[in-house]
Amino acid sequence: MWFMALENVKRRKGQSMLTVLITALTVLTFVLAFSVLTTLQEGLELSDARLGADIIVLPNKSNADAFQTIFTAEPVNIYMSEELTEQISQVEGVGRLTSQFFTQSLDESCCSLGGASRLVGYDQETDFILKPWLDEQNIERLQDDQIIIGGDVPAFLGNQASVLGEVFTVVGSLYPTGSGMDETIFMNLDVARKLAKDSPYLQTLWSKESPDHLISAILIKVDEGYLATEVATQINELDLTVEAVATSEIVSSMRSQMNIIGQLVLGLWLAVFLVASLALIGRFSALARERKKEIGLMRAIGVQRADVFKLIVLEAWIMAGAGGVLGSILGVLGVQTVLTSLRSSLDLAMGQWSLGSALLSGGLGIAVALGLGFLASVYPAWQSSRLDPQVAMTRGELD
Amino acid sequence: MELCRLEKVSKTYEVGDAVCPIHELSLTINAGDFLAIEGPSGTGKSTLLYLMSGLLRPTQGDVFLQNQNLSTLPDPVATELRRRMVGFIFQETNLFQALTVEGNLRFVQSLGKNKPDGKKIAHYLEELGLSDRHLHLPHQLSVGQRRRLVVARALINDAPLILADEPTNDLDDFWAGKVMELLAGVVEGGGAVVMVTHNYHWARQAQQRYRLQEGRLVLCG
Repeated sequence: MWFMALENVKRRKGQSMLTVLITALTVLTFVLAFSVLTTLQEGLELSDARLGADIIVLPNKSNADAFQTIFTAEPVNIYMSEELTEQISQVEGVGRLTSQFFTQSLDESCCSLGGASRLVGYDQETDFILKPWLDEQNIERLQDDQIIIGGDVPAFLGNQASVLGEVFTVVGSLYPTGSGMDETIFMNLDVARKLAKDSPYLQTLWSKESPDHLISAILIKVDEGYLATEVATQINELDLTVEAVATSEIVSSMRSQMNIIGQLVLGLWLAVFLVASLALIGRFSALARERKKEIGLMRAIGVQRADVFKLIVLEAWIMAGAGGVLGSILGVLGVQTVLTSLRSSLDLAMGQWSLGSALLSGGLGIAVALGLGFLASVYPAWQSSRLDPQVAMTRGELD
Repeated sequence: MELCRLEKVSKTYEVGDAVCPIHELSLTINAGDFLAIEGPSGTGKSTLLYLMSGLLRPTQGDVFLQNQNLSTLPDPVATELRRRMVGFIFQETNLFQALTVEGNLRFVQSLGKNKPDGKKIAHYLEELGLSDRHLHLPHQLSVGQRRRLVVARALINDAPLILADEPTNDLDDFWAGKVMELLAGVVEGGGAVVMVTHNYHWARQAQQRYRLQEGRLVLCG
């Protein structure tokens, strides 16, 4: 029956190609939608798991928000006094606390590291955000002429990189987190301050205050048994002109936004699936009508109804399977482009597109194609299997 | 040995004015029989063959294949019985267009979970002058070649009852004679043949000749 099905598919080349194409497009949209959504979801999970901090404290009334700080690598020039760390560390529940200083590279000023990237100076004495990665890469301390780059910054270890006119050596590359850290350049806190202070492009920022005692963010790990949201509320109640936000709240808000986007994408894809199903049901019904005579002959020479049903579904599966494989391959090849485009145009946390993700999406795409093939062929197959052989042979249209 | 029996079988077509090509017809076909059924077009000769094979249900009466009443059998059992018992040479040269000459025979052989027998296929292709066409598709054959392939398909499974509807149509005398030889071989091998034909010459080669007249079979000369 396999051979017969295959030969029938090959014989009707034009029609088979059309079916393959419809299925391939449906699967392509599925693979793209599924991959983008799972990558976004994974980015969120990664950010949640690897963020390291339970609370982020930013200067109040700044243009930046916690979301932008965590999930994007947009350079943000926001500052507050270093002295605030002392007061905040007194709040009950605050376990570990570290400060960071944000500044930025300029489009023109980087040779190896292109674009305006966020530069983060971190406090090596108190840091607990980068420490796990530094430990894994056996880096105890960063020298003043050394930098660590995020997972998505295009540079190689040992590269010399010019940042704001100073030359640095790249000594480490962080694992991807799906957050803004991936596109950030990390260096010593004081080095970052000095770079910002000396840069002729950033002088307007220091007209009122020198950056020597400024910080941009305080990252806090709460003690066990304390709720991050409650500790953040206590910090906000200190009236320190800062805003403390529990990172879980940000992730949760992000997640609900993602769910809405997910539902929308799913709805649109279901519409595509429905249209494709209707088109293929029409195709297979027409095919069954066109082949009445052939099916009548099969029944007449002793082919069972169940085998006629199987044959039609098998043919649909061969075409849908081919469409599924084609759509999956195109989808998998196209995902990276879509993700890159989304990364560059939207401020979204994203996971990494890996071989595992590709295999999963491709496999699901093929399963969707086979499901579509079955759905579209089951009724025509059932109708064909019920044909009266003699009537089908004598009244069926000539093949 | 009885292969097929019709008991007071009638068939009526209710389209416009009722037409009754077969009327209370009874007939028994035993192994070794070779029957020719003659009669003008439209008298119901093909209908009779369809009734014998179970492809058509009688309006009245019963059809038995190997002593099993076809009207009481569930479809899968009747289909399997037809596959095993009947080789049908249809009047139309209907073939599986996607399969080659050899593929058409192989497909029929593979039904019922039999293993295709390449030697037997080669034998029939040789006998019917299709060996050099074994990889051709049906649309690449002449009408006569297609007819011969339809004959081969009916014979390939060694079915004991061959129902042949105008088997020599479209064939020249040589190939028509060859087909008649093969049909005679079925009878000699213990099977039976019921052949519908307009051709007096070929009809005379059967053991018994009948004329279908007003729904009943009348024995000729």
